[in-house]
Amino acid sequence: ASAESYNANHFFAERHSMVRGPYVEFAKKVAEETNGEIDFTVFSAGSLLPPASSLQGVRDGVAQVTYHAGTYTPSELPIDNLIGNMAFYNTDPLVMAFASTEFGLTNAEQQAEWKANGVVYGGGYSTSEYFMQCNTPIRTLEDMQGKRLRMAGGAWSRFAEFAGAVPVSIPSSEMYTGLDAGSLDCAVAAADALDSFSLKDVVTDMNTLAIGNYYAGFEWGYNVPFWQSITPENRRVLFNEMAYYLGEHRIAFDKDVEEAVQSAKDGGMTVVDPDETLTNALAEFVVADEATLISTAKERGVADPEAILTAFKAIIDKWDGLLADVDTTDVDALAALARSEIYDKIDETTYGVN
Amino acid sequence: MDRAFRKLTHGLMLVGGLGIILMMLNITLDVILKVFWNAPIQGTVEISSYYYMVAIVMLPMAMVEYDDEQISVDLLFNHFPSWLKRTCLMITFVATAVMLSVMTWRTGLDAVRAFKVGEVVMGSREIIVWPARCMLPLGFGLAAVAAVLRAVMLLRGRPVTKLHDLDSAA
Amino acid sequence: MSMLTIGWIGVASLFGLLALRMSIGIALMIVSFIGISVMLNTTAAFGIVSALPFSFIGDWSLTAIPMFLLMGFIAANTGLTTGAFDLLKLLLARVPGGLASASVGACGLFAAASGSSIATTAAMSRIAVPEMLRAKYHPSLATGVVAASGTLGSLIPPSILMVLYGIFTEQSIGQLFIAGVIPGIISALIYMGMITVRCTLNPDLAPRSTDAFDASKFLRLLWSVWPFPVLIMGVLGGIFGGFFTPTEAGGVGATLAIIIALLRRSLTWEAMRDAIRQTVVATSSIFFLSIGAIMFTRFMGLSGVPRALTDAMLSVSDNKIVIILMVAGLFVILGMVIDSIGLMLLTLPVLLPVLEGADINLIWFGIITIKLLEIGLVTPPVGLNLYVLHSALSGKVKLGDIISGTTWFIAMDMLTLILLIAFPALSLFLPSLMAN
Ligand code: NA
Ligand code: NA
Repeated sequence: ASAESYNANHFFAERHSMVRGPYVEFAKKVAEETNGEIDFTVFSAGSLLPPASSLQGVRDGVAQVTYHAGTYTPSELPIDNLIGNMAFYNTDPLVMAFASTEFGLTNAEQQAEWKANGVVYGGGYSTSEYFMQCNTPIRTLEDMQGKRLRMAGGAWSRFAEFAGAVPVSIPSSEMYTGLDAGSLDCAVAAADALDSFSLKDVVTDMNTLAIGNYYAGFEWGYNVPFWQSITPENRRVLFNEMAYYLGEHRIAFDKDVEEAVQSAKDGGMTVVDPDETLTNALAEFVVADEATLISTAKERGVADPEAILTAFKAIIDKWDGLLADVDTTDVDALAALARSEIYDKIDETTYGVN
Repeated sequence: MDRAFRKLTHGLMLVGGLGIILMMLNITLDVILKVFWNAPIQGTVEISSYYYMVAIVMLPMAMVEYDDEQISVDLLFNHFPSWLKRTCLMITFVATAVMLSVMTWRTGLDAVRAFKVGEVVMGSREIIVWPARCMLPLGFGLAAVAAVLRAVMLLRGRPVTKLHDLDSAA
Repeated sequence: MSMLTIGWIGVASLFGLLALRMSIGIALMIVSFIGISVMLNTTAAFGIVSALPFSFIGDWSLTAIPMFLLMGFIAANTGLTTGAFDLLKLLLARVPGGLASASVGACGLFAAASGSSIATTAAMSRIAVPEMLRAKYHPSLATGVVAASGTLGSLIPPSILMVLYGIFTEQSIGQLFIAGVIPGIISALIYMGMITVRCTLNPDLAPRSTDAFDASKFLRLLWSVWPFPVLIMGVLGGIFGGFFTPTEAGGVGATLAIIIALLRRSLTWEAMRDAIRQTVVATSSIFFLSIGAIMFTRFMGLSGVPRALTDAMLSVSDNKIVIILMVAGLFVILGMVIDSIGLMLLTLPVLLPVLEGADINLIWFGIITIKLLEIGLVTPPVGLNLYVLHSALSGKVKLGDIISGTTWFIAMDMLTLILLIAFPALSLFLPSLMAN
């Protein structure tokens, strides 16, 4: 076999903000910083591994580093799914990206879960807020009754039912046709879909009710033999670069969303804020759904879900505070914070090795 | 042996056929309920993708292999002399059996892993999928057996290819 | 040995294995498995084996494939086309090569009831070819016309190839469906024009019919065409009326075909059983090949062969038309040896970045791709339509005659392609109406 050919896998398209910086630029920088010792070839848009198989693929060494959407593997990653489905407690994507990263790197139970699945957790991510992008005005809870919403599954689908809507599970590629033809009333997704899936042609109304964001799984998960084969110095390079792109992808993602929303608005899309009935419904749901999260996690063999949720909430609250005091448009400031608060505290000589 | 195997593969093909009809009815009913009563059958997408489809693709695979229905290119082959044809067929059967055994083994390991973790997928409902995973080693495995049986048939001098090939060979 | 070298050796070995008459699926799997083992390691190769098949089969959008196949086979086995063919035959009786033109028209109509070119070809070969042979049409014309017109099955919606293309390029399948309508009609008209001209210049090809036009027969037959508007409205109308998605349209279309057959009292137990068996066998073999193709796609991706090809192409020019012409050349050449689904799955991951870079509309390109893949269906050595026709006629017409019969039609396809490339509106006009 040819030596040192490393593959990086992401199932989003190469132009997406979660691939552009955190994979394409990341790979270049890592190659420079490690003097070519670690040179990833980036495979995007599922050209190496299908979305549902990225966890399996990185474990088997098809890829040395991969993105993985945790909800594809609820049985393998019950703890990750427990916290990934807690998407409504704090809906600030920046907070959730940093909090889920710290949790994934430091929580003992979560670490055991990564290990059991043959992956070294590198760092997390978060999409921008999920909004309802509709072909009909949705202003109040009343408007949602009987509407067909394309949902990301799990907690999102439960919320739709809680609010009296009908959750529809279809692939993202069918959102456009569904909205265009009217078999779908709303697509619930990050608003860059207005551009990346051309939804702006068929969406007339967007409601800014923040229906959680998606951060389950990881942005960087490493193959174990690969991680153990590289030098501690090179692991530190990876830590530093992940710390940088953790903030970078958030800023780029939000910028893409802003541009997509602006261009949709120019095309005549109406943006409305949720009224009280909607925000109240969401708040009620969040409280009610915690019991479902806990019982699901117990069914899947998580010993003490309550303790895990408490620990995660504490980390979220901590980051809610920390991020309030920094310029959230400054990548370097965010990177410095990620290093000092998270990555610098991890020992590159032992992490993922023992 | 031959007749028993044929019966088995034919039976599995029929189960696949049943999958086709059930999927058609399920999707149509789901559409009707959605259009007229706004009440989709939750789980239609997951059941169709993971159960009906896997059954339709995997269960008939042995019969497709046994009856020489896999897509192949026989333009050059048809001009080969008889001994070369038999050699090519033998190489093909052995290679097919080996490759399908690898597929059987790996997808079998996957099925065991999926069973152990109680694999589910999340759509709007949570659907158990590990039983569907078991259809892969079953389909690949029986198709491997079919390739071996065809090799035996070839050694015994019995026809192993579709009729029209023999016509054009003559 | 570099990855790229291993990739090229893999491509060469693939052709070697195919020459042994190994099934395309197995050949792709073996080459990919060994290739990835050599390039990376066996763990990675095993990883690909276990990761790909289940997630590929378990893709909801692909459920449309068996459903549209079933729809086509039910339509074929219950004689849905017979009435339409008889009507067109009567209308075109006095036109030179009228039976052949009627076959083109009937194929076009049948295409609206079938998602697959193979099903269309298989159905029409049993109805139209024997009739043309009886009327002393030259065997190469009689078979060539059906082999070529069968390819309308994928250009006129519904279309399994469009479903796959839409999934791989993230384009709207509904938009692709509607975009294929005008190019499909143009293809059929150009075929008919060519047949008429050739048969006028060379009456030996197709002896003129002496049947007189019978008005009462015409009216009776006119009624027998009703299933087609019903199916077209049911499937396309349902998609664009917002009642269901293109994926769901497969299931609805199959149910509709059964209901129509029931109403026409042509649904026998045997017809149903055969349709199911044919659907099962076709689905299983298409997916078997596709599993091999997606493994091969990964192998190619890892080897860098597609990237090398892309670089070579882009270094020639980054002009839209030049790129499309290069891609067309590539498809025609590869289409000779690789089956349509395999070819599409093999090349799209490579070509997409190039197309996006050159800002080429992917719906427009999709129609061009389908047309090119369809040409591949009738070019030897790997031309499935040729073999379907050959086996449907139980070898009564020599493969060589079928192949020579298609050459004129391939020439006409080239003409259609030039039109489609020169006038994007032919593909994009109908979708643009839908978007507003
Ligand atoms: Na069609
Ligand atoms: Na061909």
